[in-house]
Amino acid sequence: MVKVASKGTVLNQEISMAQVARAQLDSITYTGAESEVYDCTTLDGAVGRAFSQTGYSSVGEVSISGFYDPVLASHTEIRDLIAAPAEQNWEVIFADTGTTTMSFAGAGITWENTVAMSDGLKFSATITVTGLPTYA
Amino acid sequence: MKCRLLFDMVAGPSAPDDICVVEDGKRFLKAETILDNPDAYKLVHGGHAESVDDECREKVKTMNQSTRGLMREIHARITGEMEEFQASLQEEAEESADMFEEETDEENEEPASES
Repeated sequence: MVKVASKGTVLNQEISMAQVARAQLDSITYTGAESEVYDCTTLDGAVGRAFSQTGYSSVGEVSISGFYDPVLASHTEIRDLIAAPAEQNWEVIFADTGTTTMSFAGAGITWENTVAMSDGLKFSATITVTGLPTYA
Repeated sequence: MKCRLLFDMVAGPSAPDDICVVEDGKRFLKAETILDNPDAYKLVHGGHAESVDDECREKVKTMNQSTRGLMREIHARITGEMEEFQASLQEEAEESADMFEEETDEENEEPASES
């Protein structure tokens, strides 16, 4: 049993077939993965509601945030997916001793910037995952 | 549009197997590999590769020259820090395994018989 640190986790974006690390991130969050179920309770069933699998899974989205440098390719190559939408391959490398990777394809993206007096210039983006992520 | 890699990089899923080398179960694109891709100019601008054709060369000229090559430094720093951190974790894991082994050996040692 090991407590794996968040420090050292890397997000790669595939650029021209090569994986390139993205800089100045302060968070990577994967949410919304869910195996879908349907209510299969019947009138002649037991008291407890019954559910079964549809056979599909929601694959969720990956949200990232960090300190924004408007001219840094690390950020412009993410931001550019708004102007030129394209499916993009991504990879998260966790900071465990086995350097476990979560690879996924992103179909769409949202992009936001925040300017606040109490903080540095920040950005956040949410990548809509398409297909199941793979772990290796 | 074509570029030639200046150093080894981890291959993305869209890289065909015939240009990749597999090491420790991971696919790599070795230095000198020529990549033919509409985004090849981004690797050249980032400092990961050099242009092979005029289309790529001309595209890179239109980009912000003040940040040219910056991505290579950043990529090297991030991956370098990750590798250092992994190495320290591995070292810690080995040390604690050694300590556990020593403790187990001590516990298993039979007490010296009194004569």
